[in-house]
Amino acid sequence: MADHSVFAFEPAFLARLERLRLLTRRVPAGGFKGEHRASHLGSGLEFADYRPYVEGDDVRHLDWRAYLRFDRLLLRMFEEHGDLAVYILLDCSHSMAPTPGPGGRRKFDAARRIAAALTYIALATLDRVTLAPYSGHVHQVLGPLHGSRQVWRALDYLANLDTGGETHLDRTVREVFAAGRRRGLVIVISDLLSDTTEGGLDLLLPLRHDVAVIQVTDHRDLEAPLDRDTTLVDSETGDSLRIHGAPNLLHRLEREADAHREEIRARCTARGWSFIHAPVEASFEKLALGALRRGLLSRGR
Amino acid sequence: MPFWIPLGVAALLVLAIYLIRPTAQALPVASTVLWRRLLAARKRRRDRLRWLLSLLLATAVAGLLSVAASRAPWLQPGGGDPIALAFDPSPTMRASLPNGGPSRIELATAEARRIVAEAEAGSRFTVNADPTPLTSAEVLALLSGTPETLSNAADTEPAIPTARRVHVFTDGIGPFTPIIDPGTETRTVSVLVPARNAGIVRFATRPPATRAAGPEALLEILATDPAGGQVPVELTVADSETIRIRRQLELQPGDRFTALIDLGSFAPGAVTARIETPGDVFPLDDRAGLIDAHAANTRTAAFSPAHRVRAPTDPWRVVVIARSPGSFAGSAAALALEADASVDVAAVRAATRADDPPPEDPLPAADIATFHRTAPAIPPAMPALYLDPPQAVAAGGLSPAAEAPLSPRRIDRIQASHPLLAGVSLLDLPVVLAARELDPRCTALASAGDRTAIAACDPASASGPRSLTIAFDLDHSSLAQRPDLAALFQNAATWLTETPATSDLITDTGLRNAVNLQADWATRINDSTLEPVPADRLGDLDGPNRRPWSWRTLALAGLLFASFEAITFFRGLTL
Repeated sequence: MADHSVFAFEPAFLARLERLRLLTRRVPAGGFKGEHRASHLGSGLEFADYRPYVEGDDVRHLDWRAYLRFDRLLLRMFEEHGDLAVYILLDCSHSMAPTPGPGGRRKFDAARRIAAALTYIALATLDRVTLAPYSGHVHQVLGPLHGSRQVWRALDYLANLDTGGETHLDRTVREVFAAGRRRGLVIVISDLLSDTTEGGLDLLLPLRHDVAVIQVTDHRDLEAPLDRDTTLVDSETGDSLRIHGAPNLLHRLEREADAHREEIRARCTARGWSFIHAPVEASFEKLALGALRRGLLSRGR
Repeated sequence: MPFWIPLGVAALLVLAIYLIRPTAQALPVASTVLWRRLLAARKRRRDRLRWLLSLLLATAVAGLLSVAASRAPWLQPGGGDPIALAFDPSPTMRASLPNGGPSRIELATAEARRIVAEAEAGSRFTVNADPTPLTSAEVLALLSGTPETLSNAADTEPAIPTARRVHVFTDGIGPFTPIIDPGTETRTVSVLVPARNAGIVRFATRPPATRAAGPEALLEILATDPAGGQVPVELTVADSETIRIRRQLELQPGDRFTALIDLGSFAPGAVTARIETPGDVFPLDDRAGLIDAHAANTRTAAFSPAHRVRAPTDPWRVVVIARSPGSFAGSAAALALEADASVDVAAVRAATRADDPPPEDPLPAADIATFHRTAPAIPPAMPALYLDPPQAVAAGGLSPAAEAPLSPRRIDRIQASHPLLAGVSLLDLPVVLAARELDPRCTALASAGDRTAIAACDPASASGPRSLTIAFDLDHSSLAQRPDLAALFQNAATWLTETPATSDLITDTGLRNAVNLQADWATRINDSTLEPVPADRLGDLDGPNRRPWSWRTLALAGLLFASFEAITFFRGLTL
């Protein structure tokens, strides 16, 4: 039995989550019925518009009242609603949990909780969720899951994940979407501390998915005792980097982290993607109901 | 110092540097991506700075190359006035060290080479009074040649060309006062090395004190030895036929050996005293000649010319005393004097001996007495011109080179500035010379090797008469066919009859000292106000020419090594 303590959401919090849904543009055609407005008009219940009748149209959708008034055959168009394909790419590389023990897994735990919350929301709104944890390559993909009954399966899966290896988002994107998956919403949850992040995000662009990038950060990554010469050892690659203690070095590192984040945010914004910064120091509820909602979620019901 | 010692020390220092180099602590971090970005940003800033610096350096290099190519003299550290090297020409400079060591002039040239080698790059040099600036290579080549050529100038007051610094190389013996522009930095380099020497310091005749048979000679020998040992001396005294006296002497340094030599049994003619000293380093004073000692009371004493007072417009009146009137008639000198309208040859008389009857008619009063191939035992009390005198020329200021054969030579040294040689070209003139040694009162106007061809004697006091000696045979010289002889006689007449001004008095020269038998050479050779050359410099004469490394080179190498080590030490420390 998996340990679900990391996902110990309060019932009130869950209730608030249930009132949210993932924010996306129109859902492409080809899916199942769902709660997301489709990118095309079809046979839904909500009236959308008129258009002239052409041969082959379903005569059941002719508006006879309009015919009587305008002496023209007009066809009533309805909003189509479908489900959303949600792909959650969860970074499970070693940098997400660089040190052993519960304290060293704060980023990974936070990332899993975000993934769990988004999965919960997606399944509650009849979306199809695919969980793709990755590091150097894609681990076993779970999904697509459909229906709220799959929540426990997803949580079990997330709870059993572990960290290790290097981060290769580019390789992950190729592997996950090599089979021509349906267009949908791709959510990348990672600390983005990899040289392959930008390359991987670039690969998503031609696939025309909606993309949301959630960067999980831990301020402890920016802390190091630099009172003497230090050789930094990368937890993922094992590469060493020798530095010499200098005044304000950590402060400059913090500014560099901010600059790095803003670069990725600017890149996402330019592509119409969402970017959410999720520091582990902030409370998860505040994150989910604040930043996530502003960038990724909307009130659904 | 062997070269491996600094090399080994350097190796130890390198080892120590590596041992004490602090080690870095290893710190695992989640990722070094941000760190590398930070370092890259720092590197970009540093690269911009390096680019700016390299641009400035390249500009500076280009500018310096342009300036160097323009050879701007004001940029050359050794530019401007040259460095003058003045070498004492006195004969004592040729004194050599004990045990066959180098001479003082060799020490001087070695010191000069050292100075040239250590001078600023681009420096120019002048040597003695020659104003021609020489490069370092040229002056080193000159200094590496025969050192004696540098001290043969015979000018004790050379006019040093304008220089920013003058190095005077002297042993401090005898007057050497180069004329240097006021305010010029002058450094005196002592090359004094006490030398071993024995010399004849006095050899003079005097009337016999007790008997009238003949004169006697007073001989004094002085020895010196810086080591303080006994100086063995072999003394020989000879007349014109054979050696009469030979003695072995053992002299203590500083002792003065005095001997009174009876010349009664000596053959008439020159008397020569000579000493030989093993290891003598200064053989210029080992021989002394007495001029026709026996004739002192047998030569004519009846020559009593009257020195007239000449009006400025009158021609010079000359009386000629010749070996015989026939030998003078038709000679080159006679022809030159007769052709000179400004000269009136008043009388030509044959030389007489003391036992000859006195001449019937007395000599007329004259301005100049000319002696042709003869000489009086007592110099006349009037200006005298000696032409081709015999070997015994006491009055002419020259002593005979009794043991040297007569041989044709060429005049190679003249005092061109002397008024007697105005308009006279004598250099390279072939002459047959007999006379060699010069009276200290006289000045050599023209010399051929170590022999004096023309000597001018100027009395120390303004009241004494001057004399001029032409010591070679004019009849066998090409000078007789040239107008230079007439010019020489004109100059001689003017110079001999004028009252010498104080400024015209011939100053002391080294060459004059070299033959001054009445001076204490044996002591003066070491008598100097300068400090002797340190002993450790004597074995390093070739030092400037072979410097495998210098402190400057070593410091530069050390700096480069330290820079390299710093780069390798801080490699990777990019913050």
